[in-house]
Amino acid sequence: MIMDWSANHAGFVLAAYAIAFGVLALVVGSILQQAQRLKRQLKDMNLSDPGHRGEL
Amino acid sequence: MQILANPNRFFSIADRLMPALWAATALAFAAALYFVFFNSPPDYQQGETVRIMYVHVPSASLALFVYVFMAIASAMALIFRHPLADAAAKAAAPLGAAFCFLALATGSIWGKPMWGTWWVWDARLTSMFVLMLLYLGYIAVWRAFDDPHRAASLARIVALVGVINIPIVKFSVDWWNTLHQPASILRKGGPAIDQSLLWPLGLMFLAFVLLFLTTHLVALKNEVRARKLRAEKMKQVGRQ
Repeated sequence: MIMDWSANHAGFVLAAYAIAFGVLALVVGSILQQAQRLKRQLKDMNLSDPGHRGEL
Repeated sequence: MQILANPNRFFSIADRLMPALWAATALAFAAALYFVFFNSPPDYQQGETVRIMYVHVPSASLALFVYVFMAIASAMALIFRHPLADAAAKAAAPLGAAFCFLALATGSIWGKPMWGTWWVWDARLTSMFVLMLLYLGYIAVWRAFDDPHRAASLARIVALVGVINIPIVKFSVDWWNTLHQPASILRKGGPAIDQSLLWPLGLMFLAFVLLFLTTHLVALKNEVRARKLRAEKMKQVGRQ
C-alpha cells in the first residue's frame, strides 16, 4: 500500500508530483506576493481597501 | 450576488472565510497526500505510475471547471452588469491556465511509461491543448488594452466563444478514437475505478477545489485593489 520508490517508473511519479506542487506553489506564491504589493501601494498612497460599489 | 457588489461587504466576507479556507485546503492536501503515498495500492497493470492520476485528473477537471466558471461570470457581466463578474473571471484565468498546464504536463509524464510516447495529437490531448491556448488568449486580451472596459468586452467574447471547447474536451474520447482512455469516473454505470483508488482521488480533488476557491478569493481581492489604485492614479494624472 505504501509507494514503492524502487519500482519501475517511480521517477515519473516523482517528476509529476514535483512539477505539480512546484507550479501550484509558484502560482499561490505570486498571488500572495501581489496581495502584499497592492496593500503596500494603497498604504503608501494613504488609501484604504476599496469601500464602495463605484470602486469596482 | 448583488450583496457582493459592495467591496466593503465583499472584503469583510472574504476576510472572515479566508482562515478557514486556508486551513481546510492544507488539511485536505495533507490527507490526500497521505492516502496517495501511504494508503493506496498500485494498479495491477500500471503499477506505481497510477499515482500520477491523483494529480492529473483533478488538474484536468479544474481546468475545465474554471473555464466554465469564467464563461458564466462573463455572461453575468454581459447580462446583469455585475461589477465583480469581470474581475472574478479575470482573477480565475491564471489559475485555470496553471491547472490546464498541469493536466498537460502530468498527462505527458504519465503517457511516456504507459503509451511509450510523451505526446500524440489525438482528440483529447489536442482539445486540451486548445483549452490552454484559450486561457493564454484570454489573459493576453486583458494585458493588450490600456482601457479595462475595452479589454473586458473582448475578454467576455473569448470566454463565451471558447466555452464551446469544453464539451469537445469532455466527449472527445467518445466521439473519436483516441489513445487517451474513455471516461472512467463520470460515466454511465458509475465509476470504473476501484474504491481503494477512488478515495485518494476524491480527497485530492477536494484539495484542488479548496485551493482554487482560496487562491481565487485572494486574486479577486487583488483585482479589486488594483482597480482602486488605477482609478486613483488616473485621478492624480487628471489633476496635473
